[in-house]
Amino acid sequence: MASELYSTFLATRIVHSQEAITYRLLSRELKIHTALAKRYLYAFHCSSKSIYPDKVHATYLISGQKRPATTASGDVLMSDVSSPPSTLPDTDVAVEEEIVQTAFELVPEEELEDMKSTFRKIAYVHVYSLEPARLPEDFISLAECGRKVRDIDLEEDPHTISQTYGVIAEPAAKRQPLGQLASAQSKPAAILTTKTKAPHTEPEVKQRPPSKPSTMSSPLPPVGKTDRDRHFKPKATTEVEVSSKDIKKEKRESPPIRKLTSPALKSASTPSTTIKKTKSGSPTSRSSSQASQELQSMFSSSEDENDKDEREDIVNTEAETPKDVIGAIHESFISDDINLSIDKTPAKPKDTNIKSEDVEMESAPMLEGPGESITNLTLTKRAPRRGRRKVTKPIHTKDANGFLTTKYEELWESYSEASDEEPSATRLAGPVKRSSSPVPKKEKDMSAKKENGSKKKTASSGQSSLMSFWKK
Amino acid sequence: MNIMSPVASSSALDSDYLLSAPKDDETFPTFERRVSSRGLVSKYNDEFVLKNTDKSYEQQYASLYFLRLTVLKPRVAKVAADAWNGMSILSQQVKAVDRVLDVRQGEFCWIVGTIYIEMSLKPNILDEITKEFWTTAPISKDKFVDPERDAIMLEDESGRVNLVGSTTIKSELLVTGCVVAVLGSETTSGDFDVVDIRYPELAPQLPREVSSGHDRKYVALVSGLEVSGDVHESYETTMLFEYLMGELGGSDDSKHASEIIHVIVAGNSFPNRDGPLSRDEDSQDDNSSQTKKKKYGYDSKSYNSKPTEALDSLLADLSTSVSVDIMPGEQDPTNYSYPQQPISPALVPRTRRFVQSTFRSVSNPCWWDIEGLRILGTGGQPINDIFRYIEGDDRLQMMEYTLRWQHCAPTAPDTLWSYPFRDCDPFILNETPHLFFAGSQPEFKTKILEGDDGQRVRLVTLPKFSETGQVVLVDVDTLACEVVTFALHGARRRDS
Repeated sequence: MASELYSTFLATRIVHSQEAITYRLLSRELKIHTALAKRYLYAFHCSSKSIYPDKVHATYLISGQKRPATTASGDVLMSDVSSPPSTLPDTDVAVEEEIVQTAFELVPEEELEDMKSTFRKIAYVHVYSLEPARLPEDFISLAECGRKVRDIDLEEDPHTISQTYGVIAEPAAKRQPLGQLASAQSKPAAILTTKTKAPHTEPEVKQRPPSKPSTMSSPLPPVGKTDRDRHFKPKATTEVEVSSKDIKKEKRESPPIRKLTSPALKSASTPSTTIKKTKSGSPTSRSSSQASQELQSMFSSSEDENDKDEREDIVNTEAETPKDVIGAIHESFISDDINLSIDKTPAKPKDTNIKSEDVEMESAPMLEGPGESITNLTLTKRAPRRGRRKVTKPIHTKDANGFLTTKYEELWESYSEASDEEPSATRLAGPVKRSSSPVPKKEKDMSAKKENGSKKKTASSGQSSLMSFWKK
Repeated sequence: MNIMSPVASSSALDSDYLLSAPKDDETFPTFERRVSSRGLVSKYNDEFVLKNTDKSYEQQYASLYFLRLTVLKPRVAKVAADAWNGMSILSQQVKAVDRVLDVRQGEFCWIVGTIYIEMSLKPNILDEITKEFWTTAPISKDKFVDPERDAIMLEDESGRVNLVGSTTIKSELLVTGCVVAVLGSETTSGDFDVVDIRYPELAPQLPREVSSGHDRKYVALVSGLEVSGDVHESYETTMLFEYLMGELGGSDDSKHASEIIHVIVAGNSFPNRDGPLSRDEDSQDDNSSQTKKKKYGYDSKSYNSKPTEALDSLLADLSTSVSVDIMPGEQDPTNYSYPQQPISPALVPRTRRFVQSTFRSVSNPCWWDIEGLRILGTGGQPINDIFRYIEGDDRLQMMEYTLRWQHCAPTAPDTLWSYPFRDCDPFILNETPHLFFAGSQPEFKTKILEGDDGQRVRLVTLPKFSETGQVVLVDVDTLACEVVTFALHGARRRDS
């Protein structure tokens, strides 16, 4: 019988566990209409008087219209809700309006009758909650019940909530699934600039080659494959699923996957890895086939340039990684609930193995400065970066006429964050323009930011010797 | 409204019907809100919401005043011409003078310009710098007005002239930034002696069809929720949301709540932060903020995520049942200057999932069009600013005047911080709304304002919910107002 069920439930909750329960929480837990829950509370309260005397206390809700307040002398105060008519000639005299005022008051059972008398017209009275003892003034424990109710409601479809619990239905209400919202938002961001789109495809592309070898037959040289396999064995299982799903590139269906590809690249500390596994981030748009091709070409070219010793440990290369790798890894650290706007400057990744082509590298360094702060928040530790990166340097030459000209050319340079040998002075963020004036200025800006970033990093990483390279 | 299932048992639900034992076969009604249009007027709102890429602070504010005058001058001139053309004072024909500086002594004429009130108590940057060298803390005044020493001037592109005329000028409600027409003549001392004054008056109002059926539709307005997420959070907020979802009270309460088709949360949903640390105040933590090294990034220790989480939880629950708009106020995490940009939905991740259906974050101010009802709402900042300019505290009168000046924030950018608009003054009202509300006001007051051309506006001042527990329901069709109050324990929250 339903009645026995609820009375047992309530007895357990109130008397034995000594917790308060509101009608809402009862309705959520028993999956009943809130009006029925109110009835149950009332019935239990009545029956408990004999069974558990003084162990169950009720708080009532009175709804209705209150009597106007009275002054000490007993005169009734007119609540001044309408303003006096305007004195200006243009406006008509405002009629004193009758404003309907409804009140809802929460009262403990001891004061129910007193409060009832302050109402001019009572609409309804019902039991709001039952608790082991009279509630304190601010009804703290009810707030906890409210929180639980909202957490339960969070999981359910709005229409179910309406039908089951008697909540007013809103036909337009529709709660979007987590991943879908993010991708819907990322789409317009991608459309905005193609430039950002390009880097966005890169990281995804970047993420995949390391995982790819473990699952697909790839043209990649076996050296890279085995090395990566070695590193990723412990996480092989996750990455197998990850990469296979990822390759489908159905962002809507597999938002968590995109995040998981990032650990493939680096020695992400385990906390961050677990975060990635559980969270679904906001995927940015990728194109699959194009990405895979770029990926392969990129990987094969950069493969040769990897230093051997870097494979010993999972190494961070400097931010040659495009903006989006940074974004991907960064987002994976942050909980899924936080929406990262695509335009936001992401933090630098902890480490990557992939060398960048110039396309990817361009966008990355610009973000170091502001990205720095975000990184500090999310990453607990940053391994030193090293590797080689493409740098644009001004080269001064004497041309045919004897004039000194400056050309900007890209060169590969080795860089190590730990030793801070190569200052970031010449990182370039935008597409490379030959001897055009905006470029030097941008360079300066970028370099300034980068220097700040790198200085900060060296300061914060506190490394002074090469041995720290092998330590985590 | 669609009653899902009939109520069994007794025909009339008396007040105690819920104080009875449950019956086995009984079913309870569940209500549904009607499908209705709840849109924003993008024509106006687009001017309030500034794109990040377009924002530039390199221009002067003077262009804002210039635009204001250019747009409003013809409107005032028309009203003035209708009133004064053909009039003669002291057997002199009055005539319009184009430029303020062209008035001549002894000639009766009328001029149009922007009011500027010279106030010694207005915050002045030079004073602040001077005070930096002294130890006294800056005294914040509630009002700037100082009737003896304030000077009222009229200004246009050519110059400005001092307005005198104690009977007319002093008794009118004037603030810096409103465009008016004044009739008078120049005195020997070069001041302009005002005889009469005219405003642009109410802008035209869009006609609308009012349905007179039995189905009522309401818009719920609430302001100043000040959700703090604390353990000792006031429980009235939870009660409010339960009511809006139709769970509180009896079946008639739910039915009435189901007639609410839209909820507008008008500002100050976040609590007042501990006041900004001025250079004279000590920090409330042990480490004083002045001597603390400036850390790069934000100080994670001082961030309290509870208000956001609590608000998010409440709004997400509410969004399952009714469409909600949230408008920022001065305490909310968005820009402080007016117009305030919409609060980023990223702050409320659970509610964000309703962004495309029932949840919307809007700017402050904002225009709505709900089932044909045009609503203009502000978080209250312009009215609070006007309050500082005048003596007295009649908020409804201030709101009325903003409509008559056809400008919803005349004191911007003078004392109300604003964005230096370059292309248009978005606060100019080209249209009179049907409902005009201002949030975070001291108390609930309302009246109907009628204009010359048959315009009819409902003015509402919303009190802070955290102080009064009041939410206002406005009937979309009849513009009737209702107030619903939530209280705990019979304790009175505010003295009336």
